Amino acid sequence: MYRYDHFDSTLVHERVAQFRDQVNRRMEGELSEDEFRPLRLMNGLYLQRHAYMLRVAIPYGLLSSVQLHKLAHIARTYDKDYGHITTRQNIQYNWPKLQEVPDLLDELASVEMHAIQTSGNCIRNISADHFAGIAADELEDPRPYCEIMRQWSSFHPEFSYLPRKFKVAFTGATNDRAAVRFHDIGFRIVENDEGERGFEVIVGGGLGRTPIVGQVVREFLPKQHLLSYSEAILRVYNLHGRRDNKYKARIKILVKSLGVEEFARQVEEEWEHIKGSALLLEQAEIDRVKAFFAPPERNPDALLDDSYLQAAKENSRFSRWLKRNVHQHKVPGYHAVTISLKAPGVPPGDVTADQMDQIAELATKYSLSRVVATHEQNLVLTDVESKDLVALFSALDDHKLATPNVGTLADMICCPGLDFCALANSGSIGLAAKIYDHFDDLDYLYDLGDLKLKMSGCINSCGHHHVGHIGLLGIDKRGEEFYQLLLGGSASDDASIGKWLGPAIAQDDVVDALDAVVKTYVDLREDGEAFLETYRRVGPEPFKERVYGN
Amino acid sequence: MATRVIKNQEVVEEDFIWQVFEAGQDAPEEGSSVLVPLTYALEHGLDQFDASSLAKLGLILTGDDNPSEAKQFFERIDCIAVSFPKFADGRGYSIGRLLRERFGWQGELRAVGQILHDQLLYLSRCGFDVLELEEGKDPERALKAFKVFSVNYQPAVDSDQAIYHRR
Repeated sequence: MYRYDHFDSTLVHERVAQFRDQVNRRMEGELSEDEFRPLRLMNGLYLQRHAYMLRVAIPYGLLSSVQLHKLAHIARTYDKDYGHITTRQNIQYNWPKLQEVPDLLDELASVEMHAIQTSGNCIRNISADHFAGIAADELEDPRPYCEIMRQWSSFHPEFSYLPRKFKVAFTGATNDRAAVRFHDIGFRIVENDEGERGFEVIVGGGLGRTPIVGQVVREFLPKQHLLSYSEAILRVYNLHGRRDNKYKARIKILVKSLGVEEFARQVEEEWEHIKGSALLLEQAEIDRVKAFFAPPERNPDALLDDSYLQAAKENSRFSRWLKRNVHQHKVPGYHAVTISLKAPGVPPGDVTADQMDQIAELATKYSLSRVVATHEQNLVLTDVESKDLVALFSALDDHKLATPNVGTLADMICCPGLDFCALANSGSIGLAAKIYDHFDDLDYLYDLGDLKLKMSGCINSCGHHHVGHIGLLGIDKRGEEFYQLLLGGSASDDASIGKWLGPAIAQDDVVDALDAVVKTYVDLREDGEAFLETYRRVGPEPFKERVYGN
Repeated sequence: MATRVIKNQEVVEEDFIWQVFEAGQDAPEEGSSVLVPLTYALEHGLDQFDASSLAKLGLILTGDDNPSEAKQFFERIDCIAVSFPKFADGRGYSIGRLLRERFGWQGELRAVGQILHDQLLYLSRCGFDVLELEEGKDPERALKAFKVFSVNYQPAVDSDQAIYHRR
């Protein structure tokens, strides 16, 4: 993985000193809260319902064991012994004290981490396919480009006061696991007719109040132009994005109002001026960064030991976990293992300090000391050899980290909701608990197959409800918690936005409604059909009838 | 009366005050320093402002203005001011870079409006050499803002090198 040189290290340490000074000026009253707000936000510090919340960046989701141990230490020292993995592959702490945040940042800097631009109207932490570097369907590992982009976007003097936040995602695979069509910019590594690699550039996707699927602005961008083209997009947006209404300020609204052709024309015109500037990436720099992500040395005999297959025959719990939580790796004999943070009784995405330490130790022992945070709020050990699967399962199981529900309805995305968030209308975490209770039969969950349930506690849609196969949106109806039910969304290659099924449903009735939805699917599915395929074939009517009945 | 501003990262006292010209207003007094809104200059030209009778003549741009349209006046003006009505309105950063990097403005580039301590570094990186802090803010105390970072990742007006050129 990328390691800081003295430039990176200097910048992160100088950033901590700057923030320490800003906190001091706030405490002394030199800065008003209005003046301090954008400064703290640009460092990931929100004021939530009960306390400050600090969002720490995990660039493109990648952590070393050392870093994860540090995150555990921070959870213990500055928080209440846990952290929360977010839908943009970051980690949030819910209880830091303002005056301690600079010390916390110092600790992060000591392991090459930071909270830079994890909030605010600036370019946010770059996200990527969580199987980057190991996916069998990958053309090229996107993370070197994420890192190049991370550096260019950090403390960008021109783009730190954008109309609104700006999110960028990369994928190098044919199956989109990074939701690139729902980002302000999504980059897909593609190959042109001449066999050269470059990027397909997708702009203007997003969720929030106005969900929109991004559109292709350029089909092929040579790699050396990654930064100059991004600067052109950002400049057009910074100058022309709306600033009169924060709900219409994202780039998706600009792209929509100009039309994608006109938007692309303006970007190309701007780009013509700057494509030959110092932003032109030299191959030497691309190669330098790529070297950090070069495939590790692997055990040539990894494929020989397949005793885990025998173990699966003898141990049904191991077998279930193998089926749901272990994924194909591009190198035979190796596997990616998802650690589900969706255990019953725990808010989705939460991980305790002890668990972080345990996962970090297991990563050191079994997975080249690497851990990846996913946008589905789980953690992945990316490089586990076949021979270690049984031992790893048993160690994870001891720490309640082997819940075999990855990809099922129980592996839901969920925002923090009313329990923490000042914006929320509903307690999405409480509802998640009810859903776990009801859908507690694993065989039934497996029979339902791949099913993405995504839940947001308010219209800002941090829980991505628009792109869940099943989406739930918490709303407030005269002081009561209600949920809108959406069906048919997808964040993947077949990107689509879910449609309202009908009137909002009282919180107490949501589980029954979900039950009705999945039973309708079970009744109507044809051979091997997944939920989304059935829904797309039969349409909403049968679901509507069953949920709302007579 | 004097205005204390930050010029090239030092506090200086200006022994004059820029006045923003408003449409319909009488001709400015002799010896005054006048900033003409770009929109006004585009409509009426600058001929009515007699440079020899004024101390200084400049243009003032807002975020809605197209900086390329200022170019035709470069020969006749001493200063371009860009207004930041709210610190969160970041259009002026792009306007500053375009004026410097694309249109070749080499004279004074002045940031006015809600200009605060923590914007100074980025403003100067985007080409602003004169920074007029919001009233009531102490420019001396704000000078340390320029020293926050000793390296930068991106090229901007102050550097035509990205970090990778230095590695």
